[in-house]
Amino acid sequence: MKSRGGSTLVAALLISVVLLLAGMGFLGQRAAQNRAVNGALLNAQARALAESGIEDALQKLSKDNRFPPLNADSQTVFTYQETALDAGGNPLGESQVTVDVTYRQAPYSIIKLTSIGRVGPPGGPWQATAQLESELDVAPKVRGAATVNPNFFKLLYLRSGQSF
Amino acid sequence: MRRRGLSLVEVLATLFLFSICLAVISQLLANSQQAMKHSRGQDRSVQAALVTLNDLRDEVKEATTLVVPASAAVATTLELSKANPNIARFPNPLPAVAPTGWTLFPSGSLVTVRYKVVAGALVREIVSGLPVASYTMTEGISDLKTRLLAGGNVEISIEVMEQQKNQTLLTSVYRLR
Repeated sequence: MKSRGGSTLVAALLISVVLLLAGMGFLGQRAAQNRAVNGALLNAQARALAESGIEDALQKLSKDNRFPPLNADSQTVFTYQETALDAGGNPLGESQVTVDVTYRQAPYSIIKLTSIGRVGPPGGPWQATAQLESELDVAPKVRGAATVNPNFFKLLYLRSGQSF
Repeated sequence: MRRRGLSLVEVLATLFLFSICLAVISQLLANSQQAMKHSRGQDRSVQAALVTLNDLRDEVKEATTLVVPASAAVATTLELSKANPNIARFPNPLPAVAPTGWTLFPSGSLVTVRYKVVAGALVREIVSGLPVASYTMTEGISDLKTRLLAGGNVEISIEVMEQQKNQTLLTSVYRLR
């Protein structure tokens, strides 16, 4: 009897290749979707870290009279970093906050806050970053009036760089 | 040695079984293709709406003043004023003598923006502070609802149209104040 082993092998290989290609195409699609979802998640984490930086600065400013610790009269800008840990105690990222007290005195009575949230291992490389800018109103009285300022120690806005 | 071939009955039976298998598989593939197409379309609409909702949330956080909503009653627009970062509000360098009459937001430094739904699309309008402009932000949005919550926070919900069905996405914006 003539052997048919050769043609069976070729047919089996062809079917395997077709199945492999179909599987790879499907996996490739899923990988692209996964990357998109991961990117969105990292951006959200970076934004949350930046917001936590602003919150942290607010807490420090409200509870510590000597914050920000400026070394000289001419120094008006202070920058610090806080590392954020996940539930397991592993570093998730950091928030870098800049407190600018140049316009702290009347009539301006504004403290400028800038916070950069970064996601990734300490020192980078960062997988995502987000920056927020804000102004804290520290005028106890309404400017140009004697009434109590309803916005005292409130953020005037939280800008994330959206254009007009 | 002469090899025995297949009988006609065997061939017909094989072809019959094979055609049934083929019909079942093609039906399954067609169904899965349809489901994937539907899911992808829905994903796109919902994803676009989620991105829009995120933009609206950022916009509210960036606002210095909320014009609409002004109360707990439901409104169909979102209108707010925000500081124009291109206008210098603070003197630089800092003068030795503080200026008199300095105001936090001088006239022209605030831009008023309005969001509303027009013909199934979310439209963003510049109302004042910059040249009046309007552009379509996201298609497929059938409704926008906003209302003011306690503490100056805002609730925003948008309705997405997807194959004759509406899906509502809702968010509460907590302003860091």
